[in-house]
Amino acid sequence: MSGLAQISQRLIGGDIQGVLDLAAEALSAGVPAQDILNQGLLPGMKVVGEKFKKNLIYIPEVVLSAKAMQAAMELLRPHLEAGQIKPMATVVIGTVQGDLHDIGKNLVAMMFKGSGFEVVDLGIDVSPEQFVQEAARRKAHILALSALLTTSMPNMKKTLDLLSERGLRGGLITMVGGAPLTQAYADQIGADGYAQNASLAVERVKELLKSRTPQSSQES
Amino acid sequence: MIIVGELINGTRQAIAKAVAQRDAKTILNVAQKQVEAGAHLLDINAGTDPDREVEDLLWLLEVVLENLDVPLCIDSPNFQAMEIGLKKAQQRAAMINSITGETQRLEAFLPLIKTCQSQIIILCMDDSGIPETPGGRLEIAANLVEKLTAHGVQASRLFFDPIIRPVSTDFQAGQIPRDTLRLIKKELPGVNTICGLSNISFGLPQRQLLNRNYLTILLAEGLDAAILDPTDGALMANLATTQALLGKDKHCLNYISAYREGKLA
Repeated sequence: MSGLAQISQRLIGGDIQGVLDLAAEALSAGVPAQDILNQGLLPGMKVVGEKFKKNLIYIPEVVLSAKAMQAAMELLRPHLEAGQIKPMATVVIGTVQGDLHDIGKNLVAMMFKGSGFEVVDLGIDVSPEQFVQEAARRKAHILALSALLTTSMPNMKKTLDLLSERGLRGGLITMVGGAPLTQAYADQIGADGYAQNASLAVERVKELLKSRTPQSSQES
Repeated sequence: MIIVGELINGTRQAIAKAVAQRDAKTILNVAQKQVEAGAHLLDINAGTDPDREVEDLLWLLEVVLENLDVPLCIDSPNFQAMEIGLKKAQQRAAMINSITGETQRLEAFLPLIKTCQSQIIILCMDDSGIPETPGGRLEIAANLVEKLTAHGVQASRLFFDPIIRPVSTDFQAGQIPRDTLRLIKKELPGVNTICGLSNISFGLPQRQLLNRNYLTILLAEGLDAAILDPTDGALMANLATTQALLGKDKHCLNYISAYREGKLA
């Protein structure tokens, strides 16, 4: 098995130290950071996402793989930047105002990170103003909103409306999710996408990115 | 031990579909099954679309109220839905699910709570979220007991939920509710405790096994009520068994009759 395939395997197995060791080894052997990312880490996370979707692996295992991915990204980042690699798409994510639920939002953030996205997590109880400001400031490609309460769901619409008002909807993909959410509600409030769970959220965003700007696809 | 049946919940796909299609037969079937399985109350949650919640809740209440005698637990974070639901169900609205220490939600619900007799589920969280420690959750509960009793609400109407989070996302998450229950039992005599059991098993295989064993752990800490799936036979058998072992089943008569009814098989 090649070194990069081994990195994939360790990543799928959630072996944080193993991934770090092999990645460091590859770097010192002169393998370009971009190859480690594109041929080792990302294919591994793709398998993790697929297995998760099929219930072949479970949340704690996905968490470990995502942590391994994050650790490896920290290691590679200086090398990637030196090589002037285009930054990954940026996701600004948070739970909307009036809502303190964070488990689902955290899982989605983790799956995005694990799939190579740049993630800015604004936390819980985030106002429409904060979402809009941060999306603009971070030059987000994706804005992901979470709500678990029927009382906080209207704040998703308020956030989307404020985006439109400020003329920021154009380049931005908006995603909504949370237990009481449905595709119908997402359509009703004018969100670009809805997903039922964390791994579907990443898939949906990849589809939307592809359909909008084929050249910025996240696929390796 | 009070058992609140959790299955009539609009965030479950089968229920959402039945609500959208006004399919009373499906709702009644789920209601009846829970009552037959031993639920003392049925949770009624219409929640998917904020614009439709009130009318969907009213329809659900109407279906169950007209056809069954079981008391209900009205489940909504929206005080307008709660107000209209309470009016509809009157004395059969045995429980309100739920309030928290969040200022806005508490202020909105307070007039309702003062004018009805329902028992009240209170989540141990406030404006700053869910405390990470059992002590932090106890403090919220203690503050709310003081505040609510000052408004004339009897402590015996209060059911504190220590808030269960999945062990899949934090492998030590099972400890906090357990320790919180112990603290509430020790420090706040006269109030009750409740939990939404199945959160514990989110994201793991064989969820029923986790739910069932976690219930045993919480019962040992004195849990007074649980929101659960009463149609899970093994869970209910576990409940009867644990109660007998904890001295909560006089002369083990419930355990014996559960056996005779074939519920322990």
